[in-house]
Amino acid sequence: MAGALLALLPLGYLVVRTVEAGDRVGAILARPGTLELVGRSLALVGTVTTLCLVLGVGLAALVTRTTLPGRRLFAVLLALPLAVPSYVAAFAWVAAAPWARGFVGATLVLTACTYPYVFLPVVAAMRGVDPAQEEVARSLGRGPGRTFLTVTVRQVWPAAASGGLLVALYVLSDFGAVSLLQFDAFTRVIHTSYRASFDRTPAAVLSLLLVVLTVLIALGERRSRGGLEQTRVGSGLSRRSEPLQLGRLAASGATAAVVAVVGVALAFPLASLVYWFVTGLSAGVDVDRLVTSTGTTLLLALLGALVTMAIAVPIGVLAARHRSRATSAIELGAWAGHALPGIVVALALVFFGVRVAQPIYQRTPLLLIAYAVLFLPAGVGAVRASVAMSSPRVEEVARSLGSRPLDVLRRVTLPLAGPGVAAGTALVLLTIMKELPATLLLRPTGSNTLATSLWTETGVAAYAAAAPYALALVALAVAPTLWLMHAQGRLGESIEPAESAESAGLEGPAESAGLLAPVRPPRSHTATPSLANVVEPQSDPQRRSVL
Amino acid sequence: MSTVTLEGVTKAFGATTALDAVDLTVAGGHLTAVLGPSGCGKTTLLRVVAGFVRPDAGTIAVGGTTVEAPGTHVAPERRGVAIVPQEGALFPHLDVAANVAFGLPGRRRDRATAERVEEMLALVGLEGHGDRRPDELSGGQQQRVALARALAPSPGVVVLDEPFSALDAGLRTQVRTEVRGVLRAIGATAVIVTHDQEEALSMADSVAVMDRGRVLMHGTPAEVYQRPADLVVARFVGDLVELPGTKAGATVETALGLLPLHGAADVPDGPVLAALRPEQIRVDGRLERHGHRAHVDDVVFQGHDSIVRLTLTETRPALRLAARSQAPLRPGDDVAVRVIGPALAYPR
Repeated sequence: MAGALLALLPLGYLVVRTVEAGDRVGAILARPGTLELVGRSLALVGTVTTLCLVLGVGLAALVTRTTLPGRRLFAVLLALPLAVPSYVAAFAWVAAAPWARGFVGATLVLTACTYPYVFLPVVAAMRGVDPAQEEVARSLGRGPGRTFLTVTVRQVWPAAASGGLLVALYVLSDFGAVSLLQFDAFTRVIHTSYRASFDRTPAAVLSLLLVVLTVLIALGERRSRGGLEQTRVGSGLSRRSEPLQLGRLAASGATAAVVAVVGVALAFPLASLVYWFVTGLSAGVDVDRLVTSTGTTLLLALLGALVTMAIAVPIGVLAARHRSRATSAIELGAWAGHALPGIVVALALVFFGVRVAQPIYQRTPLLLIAYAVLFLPAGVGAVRASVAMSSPRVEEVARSLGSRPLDVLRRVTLPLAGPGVAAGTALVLLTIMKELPATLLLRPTGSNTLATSLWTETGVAAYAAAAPYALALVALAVAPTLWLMHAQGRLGESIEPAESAESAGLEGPAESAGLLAPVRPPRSHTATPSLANVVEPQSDPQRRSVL
Repeated sequence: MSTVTLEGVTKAFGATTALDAVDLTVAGGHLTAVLGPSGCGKTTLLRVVAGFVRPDAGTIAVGGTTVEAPGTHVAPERRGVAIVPQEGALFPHLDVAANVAFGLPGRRRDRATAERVEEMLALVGLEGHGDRRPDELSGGQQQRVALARALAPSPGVVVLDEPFSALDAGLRTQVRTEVRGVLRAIGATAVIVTHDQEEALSMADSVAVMDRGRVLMHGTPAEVYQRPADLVVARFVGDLVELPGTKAGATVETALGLLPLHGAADVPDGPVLAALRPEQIRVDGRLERHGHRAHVDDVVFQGHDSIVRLTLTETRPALRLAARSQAPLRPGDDVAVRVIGPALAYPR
């Protein structure tokens, strides 16, 4: 409850501002520019979200359900763009490709940066899917293509839809990329209008309009998910499905597509950054500032993630287990917080800090509150999804054995949801490291993060001086991204056809792979070293038990 | 060893009445089966007793303590009612020993806890399996661990929700016998919910037959099978041969002759439906023996005996019935049938 109230704080500020404005609200909304702005923003959101859904689901199917050569490596590479902040990618494109501006540039950059939000959960969902339904569809005469579209996609739709919601919300609230790419989306217009005068009313009204749009989008996602919520019944131990054998032509086509995505989303921006870094080396790098910025970034991200998850866990558990109007409202409140662009949350909290919470203004606590407001949805989504994966029956057993509700949470629900909660934490950590506008306005006086240092240098067009911070930011973000991939479903596992065939053929223990993989992978899969194991040593249960 | 008493327990989900003023007493130390078709409310009954569903009306007492009444709701963890769900629902993140130890008060490493866990595992025949993970066990083993886990804290009552439905046929009979033995051995009060009449009749001390949210009959397996309270119960607990007839006192006149009735049934004289179990119909291949002529339509071989579908040739219109027989019969045979033992009579 407190979490939802916290998320509503900036919203309250906007409402107060709008109410104070009175008659002018109508005038601002009636401007021809306003309608155009809504259309422009929705066009961008729609285009990017659609592209991300297609890319995310398609790529996830390629790396989990086919014999695509190199799928383990691709599974890792395809998730890595998550580590590239959108404004860094935008900066890389603007600096290297002048044509990449406006709607085209914004679509390109935002799609490349956000499709992993769909890709990662769908990969996890596809690996958890019970192949029995697909087998039934095939046996009833549906071809592999139609089975995929009508059965598999439906099964992973809740995962894809919540990923798609994250993408839509990200695009609506992105500020850095659209500003650099000179596309007049909501955030850029709001920012311009803040900057243009001391009159903050138009900005507040537009922000409120943006919140309304977000709520509509979130409601749409809930609707599309409605009847499909995947709550497991029984222990639901299931087998893995057979991977689809790709012919030579299909395999080369698929490889080309995957390489193209990796190239656009990862290789090109990195190459551009490295180019500017090398260009700047001759002028010398400010090592001291680089080190302190990195330290501050890490510390703030860790604290922010802890605070956020502390609030997200109860909301997520409630949302997964008790579908009532109240929990829906709390959940929606948390989502609404996410839709507020970082700059609006930041300014709302500046207002709050100056008027109400002077002692923490421009100190760490207020910044952490901003992070919590901004990133609750990511945490809540992860917690909710992972709690919903385990059967409520298991919790009832615990109750009937004498555990009180809080003990059940501690002893059963959270350990089972552990991998999902870890994934949520990684996601929040990652997003905080990349956060720009709120950090810029609320950071403790005198301290700099990688993002703010980068912003400062970019502000004076010192691309070469900015490049080291951008590279450090990307490098830092890689670790939680890998962790996230590990927790989200151990991408490297089960992709090897020999192993899948083996586990599909085995009776008994191997059947459980579907449910238990996130908790503890079956032994048959640990004999062969996989890329995921190499990248993430703790994914090996035997090694874990030795430790 | 607690007695469970339900009085007027009612629960509706929207327009569907799952429990309709249910009265039921489960005697302490008894194994009671709640038998009914899917959707009859039996699982709701079990969840109401365990405390996961609050009834709209009625009272429930466990071991003399009221756990459910208007204004009273004892939390599931304080009822002493342990649940064994379908498919076991073992905690997948814990090994077998930790699963069994879950409801014990002491810490995992305590001597008392470890001893109790070993004792329970021995009881269900899984000694030395404590460090296995749930996914390394077969379905039957998982079910037995779930039972050991439920019994470890010595609950007053154990409730089992279709515990054997996920097991294949051969295993089901075996695990059923084992579970029954364990429950007998410790004298636990147990309520088992099932839609399988064979399971209910063979396992339980008493059987409560449910349909559409109501308990139609509660009695020993023999009473439920031989003296069903009404036609619905009679049809549900086993195959039934139904013959139209006319009741007069303690007998009923049917196409198979004048049959004695079980007691003097509280059905008024006049037209009734007489009911027999197929094993009461004796089929004889030799026609000269006195009996009613019939024609064999179909024989379903079942190993120990066969279900024989017959048409009585003497009656108009032709009457069809089923019998159990060990005689080597083939479709097309002409046989003589006669009735052993008394019939039941229900209003037509």
